[in-house]
Amino acid sequence: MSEAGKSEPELLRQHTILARFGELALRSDDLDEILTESCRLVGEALGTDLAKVVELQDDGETLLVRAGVGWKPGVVGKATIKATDDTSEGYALKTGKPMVSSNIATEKRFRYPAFLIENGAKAVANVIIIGGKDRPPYGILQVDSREPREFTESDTAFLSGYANLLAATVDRFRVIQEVRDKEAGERRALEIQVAERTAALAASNAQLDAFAYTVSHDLRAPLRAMEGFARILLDDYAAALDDKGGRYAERIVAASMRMEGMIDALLAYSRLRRHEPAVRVVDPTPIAQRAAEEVRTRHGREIAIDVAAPLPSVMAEPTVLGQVLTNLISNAAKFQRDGVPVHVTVRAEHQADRVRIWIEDDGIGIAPEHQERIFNVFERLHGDETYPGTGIGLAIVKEGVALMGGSAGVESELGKGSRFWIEFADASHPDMPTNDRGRHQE
Amino acid sequence: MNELSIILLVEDNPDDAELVQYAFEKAGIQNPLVIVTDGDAAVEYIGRTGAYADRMGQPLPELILLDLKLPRRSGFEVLNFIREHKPTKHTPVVVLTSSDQDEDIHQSYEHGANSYLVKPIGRDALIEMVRTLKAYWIKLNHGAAL
Repeated sequence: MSEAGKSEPELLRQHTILARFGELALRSDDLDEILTESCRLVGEALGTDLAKVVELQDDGETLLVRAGVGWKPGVVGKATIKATDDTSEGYALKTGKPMVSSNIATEKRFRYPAFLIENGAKAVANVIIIGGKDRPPYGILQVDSREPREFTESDTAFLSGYANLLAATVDRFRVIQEVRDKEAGERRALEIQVAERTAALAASNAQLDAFAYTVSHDLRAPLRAMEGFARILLDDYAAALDDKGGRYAERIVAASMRMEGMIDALLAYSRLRRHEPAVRVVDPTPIAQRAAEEVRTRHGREIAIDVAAPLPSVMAEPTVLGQVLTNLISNAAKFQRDGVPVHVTVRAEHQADRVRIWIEDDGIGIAPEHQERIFNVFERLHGDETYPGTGIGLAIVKEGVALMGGSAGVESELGKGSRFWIEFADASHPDMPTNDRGRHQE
Repeated sequence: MNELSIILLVEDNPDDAELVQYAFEKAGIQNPLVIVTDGDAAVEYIGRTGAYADRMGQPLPELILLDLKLPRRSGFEVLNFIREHKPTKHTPVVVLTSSDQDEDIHQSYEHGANSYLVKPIGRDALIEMVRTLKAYWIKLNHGAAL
């Protein structure tokens, strides 16, 4: 005999049980499994048939049978005990001391719940499972014997030690759960935020629609009146106007036309942003030729725009690509240097699995510090006197190309012309030998 | 249509109405032009009710120029009425509006418009448009007899 009168085999058994419990507590990430298994182990250690863990609920007085072994159905997860002073559980919770009844039939101090009797429990030992730091007790570990029996001091000492290990494990799970709840809460908050932002975005898109409609319909009406009546003054009432009056009327007309251009460009831009273009295989050659023709016509006099046909096929949407190319060619033709004839070249080259289309001019060029921001809406570098424009053309280029999965940029040196480029996915099979390769690099 | 056929302009903006009138003169359109300035008035004029009840039996317009955004009753509602009203079931209706929105264009044809024109900016462009209007709807087109 050693250690408080325990037999060697009994001691060995209890140590083995503690070791197995320790291993279980470390290995498992399922608290119910740990609690159930700990009931089984403690029954094994003390030679009892029934064991359970009862958990103190948030109300501070109800104990729920959270886990157990040997019980009839309807007990584990369901049966509750009121932790009052006349129950052994209540007493154990209140005092924190082990509470033992060697025969509940003759027990006078406590009442016992019906399910205990129904399950044939005759003797009971309760030990508290303490809570974490500054927390109420977690509950009680109970072993119940179907035969009246004594629980020795050694038994209750073992039970207390065992319950403390259980308490540490339970508290670890509590902390983990708290962290998980917090994370889930944050995730929910984030999801709500995303949903709110999405709704706000949809609302602002709807507002953009309404705005575009207003611009299209309502802002044009006074513009028509300004231009129309000013022109009528000029044409039909010229005799009544002196030179200055005539010039002023001309200014009204010119300003109206400028504003119309801006409204048109703004509408084109907003329309572009509202509809995602359906990208497919497109031969840019005829599109570039049409765009060049349009710019030539608009320019009035003969200008040189060379399209190095054929351009290789790209992944794009024809209408948007046409708008983008028209804007770039028109830009290239517009910003010309005094005394240097307009010469615009459109050519393409392969770059890995991409096709890059270059739009090059001999114009005034762009200083490095401006090359980023010229793609922004309403960004202009020149007064209307020198180079009239809306400041939207290149924004359409950038937005339109991006919507088609491409990109756009510029290489330029002030006074030496600009080389704008747009780049798309190559529509030709990557393994297919293509004659385009290198052809446009002269 | 002949030179006596009435043309109805449904237009709430007096500037636009004035400009259209001016363009009619410049384009040499002799037809009488009746102008109403809201959707209800258009329906009353065409249906010969309300303020126009006393015109019962007088000739109806043989060409209607219709704005879409109108007070009291929209252009689409006016269109519905025109198409449901037996005497004007086949009267050519040319939508003349500021809007170039796809939705408006689609809805106009859906409600039975014959043509859709966007009001141009620029007096010359307007005169040019009205000349074309004259050439096609007044001179060339054969409408169903009323």
